[in-house]
Formats: sequence, C-alpha cells, structure tokens
Amino acid sequence: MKKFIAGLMSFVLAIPVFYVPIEQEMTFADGYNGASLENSVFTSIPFSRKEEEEFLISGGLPLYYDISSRTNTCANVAGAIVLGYYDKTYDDLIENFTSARVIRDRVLYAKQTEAVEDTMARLYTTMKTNVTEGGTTVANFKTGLQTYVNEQGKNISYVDVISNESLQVEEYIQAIQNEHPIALFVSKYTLISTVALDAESDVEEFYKQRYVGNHTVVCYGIRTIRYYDESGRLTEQLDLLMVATGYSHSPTGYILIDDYGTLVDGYEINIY
Amino acid sequence: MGRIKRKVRENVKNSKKPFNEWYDEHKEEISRVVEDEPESEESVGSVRIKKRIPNIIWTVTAGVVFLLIVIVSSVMLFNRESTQPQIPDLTFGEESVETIDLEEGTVSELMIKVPQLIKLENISGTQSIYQVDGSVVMKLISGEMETVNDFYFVEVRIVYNDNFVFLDKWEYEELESKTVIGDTTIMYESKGQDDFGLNVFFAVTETESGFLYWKVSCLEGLFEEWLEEMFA
Repeated sequence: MKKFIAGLMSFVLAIPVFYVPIEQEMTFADGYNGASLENSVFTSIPFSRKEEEEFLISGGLPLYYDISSRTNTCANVAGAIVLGYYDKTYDDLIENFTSARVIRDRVLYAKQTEAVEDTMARLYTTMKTNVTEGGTTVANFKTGLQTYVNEQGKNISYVDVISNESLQVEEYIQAIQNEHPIALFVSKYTLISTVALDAESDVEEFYKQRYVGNHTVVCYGIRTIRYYDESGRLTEQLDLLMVATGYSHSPTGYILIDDYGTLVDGYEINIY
Repeated sequence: MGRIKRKVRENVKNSKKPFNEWYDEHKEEISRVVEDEPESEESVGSVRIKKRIPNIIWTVTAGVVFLLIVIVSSVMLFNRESTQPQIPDLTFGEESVETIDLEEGTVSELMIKVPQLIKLENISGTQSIYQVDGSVVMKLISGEMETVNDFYFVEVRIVYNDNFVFLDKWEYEELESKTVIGDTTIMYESKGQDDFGLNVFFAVTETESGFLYWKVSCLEGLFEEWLEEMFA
C-alpha cells in the first residue's frame, strides 16, 4: 500500500517536469471566432452631478473596416486606419487615395475605396497575419506597418503607453495632445456606444457590451466621467478610451478600462 | 551438548526482562525518537501491544477523502445544472459577421422598397452575413444629401435578425420625439455632437417589411429640414 501511494504521488509530481506548455505569443484576431460578444450588461448610475474631462485628436480618425474574406484581420484594419490618418498629411501613404475631404470648409475623412482595401491586403502580408494561428502578433504588427511605411518612403516611430497591462495615462494624454493615434491591443474588452453617456440628470443608463477574445483598435482620445451624489461624494468614475473599432456597423466606441479584460499593449504611432 | 544448550537458553531467559517492564523503563527515550507517532493499543488475545500509525498514512487518507468529497459534490452540482433548463443567449456581435459590398442591383431593389433613398447621392451599401449559418442579418445603405443650409451624411439599417447586436442598437430604443410626415411616422432624437464635430440624430421609421434605423450626421444640425426633404 505504501509503495502504491508513493508511486502515485511520484507520478503526479512528475507531470509538470515532463509536460511544460510552450508559451505562444499572443495574436490579435477578432473576426470569425477570434473574439465574440459574451453579453450585454445594462448599467444604471444614479447621480446628482456629473463632471467630464476629455482629450481627443481633433477631427478623429478615418473609419475603415474589412470587406474581404480574410479572417482575423483586425490588426490590418487598425494599421490601415493609422495610415489613413497620416495620409491627409502625406498623400502618397495610401496610393491612389486621398483620405481627407473638404466639405463646406470642414475637413472630414473620405469613405474607404478599393485603394484602402488593397492597403489592408498588403498589411495582411507584411504583418504575417495568420502565419501564427489566430491573427497578428504585436511584434509583427509593428514590423509589418514599418515595412509598409518604409516602402512608401516614410519613417515610423513607436512609443509605449502600456506598462504591465496598465495604461500610462500621462504618456497616453501626451500622445493625444501630440495628435498621434495609438494602436491598442486588448484581451477581452468592454465597449460602450459613444452616444450612450448623455444623461443630464438623475440617472445614467447604458449597455456595456463585453467581448471575449483579442482585438486591435486605434485610440484617438480619452474621456473621464465622474458621478457625484447629493452630498458631493464621488460614487462612480468611468475612464473611457475613444477608439476606432474597425467594425463596419459600430466604427467608433468607448473601451471602458478597469472593467473587464486586459490592456495587453499599446503604442503611440508617429509617421514622418 | 544438549545440556549446555539448555543451560545457555535458561540463562538468556532469566537475564531478559519481560517486554512490558523493559518498555516502561525506556518509554521516555523511545518517545523522543519516535516523537509524533500516535500510538494505539490493541489487544491480541491476552497480549496488549502498542501499534504506531505513521502520520503520512493519515495525511494521504485525509487527502483522498477530501478529493472524493470534491469529486462527488462537483458531479452532483453538474447533474443538477444539466437538468435545469438553460435559456440560451443567441445574441452575437460584429466579429461574428462578414461584411461585403452590396451589388448595384441589390441597392436598386432596396431603393424601390425604401423610396426615400432616391433622394440621396453617392449611395453605397453593405450587407452583413452571419458566419454560423450564412444568413443575412443586416443591410446598410449610406448616402449624402446637400441642401442650401446643410450637408447630411445618412445611413439606414434594415434589420433581418434581431439577435445581431451592433454597438448603437440600444440607443434606438425609446426615442423622445415623434412626427408624422405624409404616411410616415418618424420617431427621432438628437444624440449630440460626435467626435468629428457633426450633429448626430437617430430615427426609426416603419415599412411593410419592418423597421428602418436611420443615423443622420450633419454639419449645421438642421434635422427637421432633412425630415421634410426626405419624407415629404
């Protein structure tokens, strides 16, 4: 009996010695099982007073999405959004396309054309999407975008705004004030509609849409809303990153931080 | 030889103390060496013996019993959950749909069903297909309208599957204002300015085949002018 028990325990203890899981680099996916909507949670915040603070890139970002049959392309779409943003300054960044459009003295972004879709296809190759199963690694996003930018005769720099899965708020705000978009890599995330948080009194009611999986978005701002009760006590604070989602039906949204999920990595991107 | 043997045995027997007497004399010493071993006493016939049960066996036995309790409890819980009816959540998001451009012919057919679309310029359309079963969940038509006073970017959604959750879905519920223009009842509400500085309005109208969800973004905020232009 003693020998049996000793043998059994030896076997159990030996398992981690012989089975060492290989750590795979995380890939950023979305689209067809890369990420999925887990649930929509109705949220109600009663308040007596609310205060808001916001920093954003004036004019926002172009709102592109993928219409190809390629899968797990969110990193390619994010890269194209960054390129479309800088294309209004460097018109040859996306060939045969001018991303800026002037309407009654207002500078807006043009709708995507085949030229933008060709750019996404090119990024799919340079970023080695789906070479590692499930999308694009952060490293390949950076090198792939750099390859594309260099091919167009430009340079690119990246500045980290996420450290230990935590937003470096000062660096993030500085990037926004520099008018540099930020590529953000998230694992699980909460999205809120940009028109949802508009209550002027009594109660803020909105839905949090919670997603599981990995996704890449492009940030163009940050909004903080603080809710106070009648005695002036802070009861709730929402810290919201303004993002271009890469989705066709919901091209912009807020990612609610410190709620659900992880900010895996993020980079201020400057093309010059 | 036999006599010597018997004598030696007798001497050994006489010099040896009875076990109990020897144990009592050395009990303290023995307990220092075998400190934590609990003892139990058993009677085997007329002889009382002390039996030491090693702690390791107690520990393993306790571990096995605990593991059994956990396994049995988990099985019972699982069975209980399995027998209770589960309400499935059928909703899905944008990551579950493939978006493709609508062909011109399809856009033309939609313009017949929604005649207001004829008043827009630069019209294009997409449809979203659910990857699980290949069904069309939504069609989206977008276009522009320019008047003397304002410029409008217009999107209209035709929903075929209510389980498809796009981010603004809930914002179309309980719109504040209502107006009737011709045969069309329009529920609408201002959603403030977006991050591009455009004034945004949401509206819902009803047709024979279902509800249409409108999003109008304009430079000057003249939404009522747009209503008259579109539905009169």
